[in-house]
Amino acid sequence: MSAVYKRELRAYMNNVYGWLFMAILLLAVGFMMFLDNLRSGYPYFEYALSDSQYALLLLIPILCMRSMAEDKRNKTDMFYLSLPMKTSSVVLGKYFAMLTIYAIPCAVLCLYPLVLSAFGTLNYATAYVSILFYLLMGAALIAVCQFLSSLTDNLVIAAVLGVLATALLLFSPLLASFLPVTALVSFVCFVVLALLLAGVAFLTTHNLNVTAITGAAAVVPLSVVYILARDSFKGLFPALVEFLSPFMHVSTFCQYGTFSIQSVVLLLSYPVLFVFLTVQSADKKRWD
Amino acid sequence: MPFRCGKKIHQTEDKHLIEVQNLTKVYGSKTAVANVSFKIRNGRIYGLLGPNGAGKSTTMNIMAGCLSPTEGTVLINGYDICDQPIEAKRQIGYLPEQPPLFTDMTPAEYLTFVAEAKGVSDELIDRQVKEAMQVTDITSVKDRLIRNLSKGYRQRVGIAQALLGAPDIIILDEPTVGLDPQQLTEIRALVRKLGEKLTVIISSHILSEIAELCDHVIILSEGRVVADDDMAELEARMNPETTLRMTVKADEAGARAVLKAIEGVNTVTLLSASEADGTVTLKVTTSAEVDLRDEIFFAMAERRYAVLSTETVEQSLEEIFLALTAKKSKREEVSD
Repeated sequence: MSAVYKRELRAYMNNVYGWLFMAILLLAVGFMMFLDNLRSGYPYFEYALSDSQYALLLLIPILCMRSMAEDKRNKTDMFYLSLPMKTSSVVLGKYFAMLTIYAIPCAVLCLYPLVLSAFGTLNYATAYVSILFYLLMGAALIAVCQFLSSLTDNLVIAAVLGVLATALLLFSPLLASFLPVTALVSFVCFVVLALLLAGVAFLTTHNLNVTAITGAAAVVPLSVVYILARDSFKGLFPALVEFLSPFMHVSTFCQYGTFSIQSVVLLLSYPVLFVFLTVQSADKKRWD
Repeated sequence: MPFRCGKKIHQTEDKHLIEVQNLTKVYGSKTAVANVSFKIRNGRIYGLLGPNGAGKSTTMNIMAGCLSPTEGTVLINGYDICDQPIEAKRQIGYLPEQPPLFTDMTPAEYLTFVAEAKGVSDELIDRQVKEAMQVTDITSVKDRLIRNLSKGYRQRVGIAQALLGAPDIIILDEPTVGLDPQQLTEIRALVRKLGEKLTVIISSHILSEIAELCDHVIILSEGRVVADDDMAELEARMNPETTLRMTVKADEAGARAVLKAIEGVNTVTLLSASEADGTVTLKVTTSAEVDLRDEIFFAMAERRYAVLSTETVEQSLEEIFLALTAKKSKREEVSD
């Protein structure tokens, strides 16, 4: 894994990509710090972090687009498969390289509260925990975008998929809040999700049986639960969408200072799930 | 043996380094490789020959662990590529059809990365990289970006990465495709050099290349093995009769009569006749075990027929290949 990590990290650092990513991220947070803290006078650095989340909408997909897609395009994915190492080591090496590129500006962000302290009193605990949340959120988004990059050999498509997925995670709580809180609406939304899942299964396996089994495995239990405990579906979909959005957890902490271990667990679950899915996607070529 | 540092090999000539057993690979409704079996022995150059789409790359990709077979097994030095992939992959160095190069790196950086990725110990990395560069003759370009190298040099870098990790077997998938004649000659010379120390498996659809480089040929056609033999044995097997092409100053009937009278002559076919100078050119097939050229010459001389030329015609690898693939197609037509 370390060889892949070093190679990927060097590729980012020897390229304008990595430096531009770090510069824009620091610039975005710096700009929001200027607006929220210096200009408006709020003594909360976390406000600046919360407001600069929108920059990640573009930055993370662009950082991740080449991660797996470029190997497919250049056929170096076959090279990795021929090496005496596990696919998970390759995926993790690439993932940690991207995470390092993201973590470097996050480390620099740790200086910002110190700078702000020159202008007034600051709550260091919330400021630094918000940076930690920011790091975890980035870790989650990088894993999602890396997985999407593994689905295509086209860097632009990988970036567009990443932007769409990040936008969905960012805006889904807002969109879900417009939905009626009735049980039927939640049930229908879950069924649509289940069908989308079946669609993804078809796109990945091109196998109708797998697609049908995936769809049935999701829809049948949903229907049974809906029939037996209809009331439990009331408002469930909007609540779940809100819970699953990494942005919501960071915003909640940044704006209300509410620390929840659930949030940390959820943010850590994203990398675990999506790195696993990326490994499966990368290994799929072997089995095609 | 410069590029085998850090690993001592104790192998006998008879040891099978690779055993491919009943290999089948199906893509959707298309069978790319069907029930392919062969064995690779130590210290020889093997050629995997076949037209485009014959299943060469698929077979090689499965042997290198890049693809999983639908059925069948590949044992590399006793390790099953599916069950013990890490150990099996350590035994081989693989150059896919498109060299797997990171063009933003220099050859030196790239080879160091590959050595690390192959798990070469830190103290051996520098040595192995230097030796691989020397063997493939890329030391002079080691600090240039790979993207700025010519195709020939890129191919050499690809071969150099296959040598890292001191593998027993080098698998090269069409290493000469797209090279100019000069580069082609150089890469073939390099393959020959590697074959002196290692077991090399090379695929190609160029018959002359396989004939020039390989000790043993495995011919694939439409995903099946149609021949698996040493070059010499294959030629002998495909030439059960000796064919002579001779030009005689005689009339056709007279020449035929002389030839038919000689024991061991199987067939006589007229190829051409020239009324102007009174010569006939004939194709004469005889038993392979006997050389009848002397006897034919004296028999003709007795009748005062001048033998102007005699040459033994052997089937080229190209003809053997066409004959074998034609046989297969015919078999399939019959079974259909």
